[in-house]
Amino acid sequence: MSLDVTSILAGCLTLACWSYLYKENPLFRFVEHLILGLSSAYIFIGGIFYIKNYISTSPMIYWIWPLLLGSTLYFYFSKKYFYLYRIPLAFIIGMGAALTIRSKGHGVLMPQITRMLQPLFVVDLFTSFNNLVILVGTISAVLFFTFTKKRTGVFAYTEKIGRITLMITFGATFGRVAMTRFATDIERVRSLIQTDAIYLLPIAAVLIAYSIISDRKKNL
Amino acid sequence: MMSVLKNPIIPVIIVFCVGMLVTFEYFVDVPTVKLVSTELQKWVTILITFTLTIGSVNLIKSQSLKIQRKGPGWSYSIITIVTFALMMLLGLYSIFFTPEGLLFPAYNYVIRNIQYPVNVSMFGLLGFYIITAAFRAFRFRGFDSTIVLLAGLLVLMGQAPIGAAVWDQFPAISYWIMNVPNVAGARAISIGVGIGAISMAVQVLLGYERGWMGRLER
Amino acid sequence: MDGEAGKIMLKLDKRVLYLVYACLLAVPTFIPMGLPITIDSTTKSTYDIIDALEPGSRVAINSAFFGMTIPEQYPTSKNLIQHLFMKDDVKLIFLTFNVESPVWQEKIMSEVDKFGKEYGTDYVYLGFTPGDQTAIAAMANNLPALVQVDFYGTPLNELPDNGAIMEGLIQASDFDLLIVITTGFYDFFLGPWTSQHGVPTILGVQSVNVPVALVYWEAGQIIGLIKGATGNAEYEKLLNRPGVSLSDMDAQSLAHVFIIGLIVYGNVKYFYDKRRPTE
Repeated sequence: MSLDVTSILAGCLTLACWSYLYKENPLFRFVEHLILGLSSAYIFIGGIFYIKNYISTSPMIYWIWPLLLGSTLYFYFSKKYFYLYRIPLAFIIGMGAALTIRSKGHGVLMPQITRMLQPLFVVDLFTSFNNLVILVGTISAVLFFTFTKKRTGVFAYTEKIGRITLMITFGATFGRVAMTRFATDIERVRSLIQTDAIYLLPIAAVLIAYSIISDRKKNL
Repeated sequence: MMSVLKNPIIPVIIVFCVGMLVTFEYFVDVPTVKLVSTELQKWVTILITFTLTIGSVNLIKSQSLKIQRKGPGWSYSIITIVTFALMMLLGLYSIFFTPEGLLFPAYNYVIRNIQYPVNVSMFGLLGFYIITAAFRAFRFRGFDSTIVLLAGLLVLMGQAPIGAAVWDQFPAISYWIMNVPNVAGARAISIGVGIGAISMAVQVLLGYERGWMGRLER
Repeated sequence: MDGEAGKIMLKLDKRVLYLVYACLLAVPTFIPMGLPITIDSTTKSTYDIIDALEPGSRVAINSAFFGMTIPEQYPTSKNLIQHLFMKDDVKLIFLTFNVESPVWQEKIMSEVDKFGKEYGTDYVYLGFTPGDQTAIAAMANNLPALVQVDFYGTPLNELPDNGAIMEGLIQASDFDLLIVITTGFYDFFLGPWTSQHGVPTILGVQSVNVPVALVYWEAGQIIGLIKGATGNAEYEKLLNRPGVSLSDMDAQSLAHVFIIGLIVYGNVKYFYDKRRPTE
């Protein structure tokens, strides 16, 4: 009977991570540092891959200047020439700020505010009620966290409505967050149960039992 | 020349010029402006590539220092550096010596069968913590927490198939909560975040916000 | 409410809860429940839009796979790609802003029915372009200026038929549909691609991002939405190709019941102890 080494390897890594749920242990620390090294390397490799493609497809006159400028970013590690690091960073920051204005303004603010300006009351009563709830809720919530001074009179009600609206949003978000987390765990449990990694489970159970017994002996 | 570059006003001027050009390009249809803006954007993608690598270099530097000084857990830092080195070798070999590039089978194998299980298992730990949090911390303590929990419970019951099996109105209630009050709150948050992001971006463009420059020489 | 049982429950080691939770997730593997699911309007809308694509349509797909998002976004990508492959003469152009994505796209390609579709003619992975917001905005205005090769390093004009798949694709408005499968930062696409260039956009999001994504859906900025795990299961049902997402809904149901039970029990215990404090 031949075993699927790949699934057993993945199963070992999964159980090593989840061993942290029992208690902190060297296996978890090993895996933690493994992923640190792997992730840093693969990001670095991605960068080299892009630059290699860029150089091979563009004339030198196009790529030499950004490459030279990008190299000065490494002055980040120099105490004497640290100021040179700010020059290329300024390009990135300027670009980021401009694109934020464009994307947030045109992509988020304008469509959302435009939507609020559409007819509130339509033929269907339930839809009209929903439109009203959305309008009142949105305005109240925006007022709630924009103006923090204690409000009186009519505006005290907007504060209350804004709070309730935001609380409902947080509750709904919690419900959806739980689903995402469950989906991740379901996928991992499925990969343990439906592959040859299932043979690791009795071994893991024995190891945990041994750990429990030795902990109890230490405490006695 | 170097003393000119030392002046902190130079990066501020660059931010302003680049930012205003790219913002201006969005609103006009002038080919030259669009050409310059596109070229600048290409430059910035290269610069961002370098920033990605700086993070990795910084990590290796800090881990190496830890090993040198025999700091707590220094032996684990060796694992980080060795893994980094091996992955770099594999990646560089894939890029420069194979026709598949980053789709080289050995490289793919490491991504899919080593990196992915660890990544997703680490993330999956949160699912377990939510379970204990639900038991120990989620209480109907006051009005606000009651609203949060009620909304959460109704959404939970409505989104899984078992909710509809228990009572066929749960999905409809969950649907209403998600599409009406939740949209109101999330829209308010989006608007608030959008206004905040734009105001911060304008502050950066005009040079009022200079925290990104890091340490300034005295 | 029994005081003794309550004392046991209060002293219950959290690790026992973890074990019970993990076991519950494993149960449906052995005892499938097959609870029925209902199709949401957002999923149906996505399905109808893709079904209505004309031959010759060109679809831009951005699947930003990160390790932690794959359990929900891999099935989303797979279902949508499968449906797109079922359409005649629809070309897929995969935008790559994340170096990990093509690794998983390759895996998807090995699992879906391609219906004779070939790389270079019917679908292509554009070369990796870092920079997220910058790259996405730049690509919206001038795609050929930013990307000259595919992910394998092949120049785009050397693809089959002199790179016919990329012919005429200069800016975002040249695409017939944009599908964005990512977690967060939707405004990176919604600004330049959707609002500025008017490309019809479908979002595939994780469950955690559904509250935010619904804001765009309600405002009419997006024309389709796949809501994480539930959306994946619904799409598999619509495609009539049951897969892991449909079967995972049983485990989701058990997990949901478990967490609701714990919340309810914890609160009942809390109020009981408030009225009758234990020694």
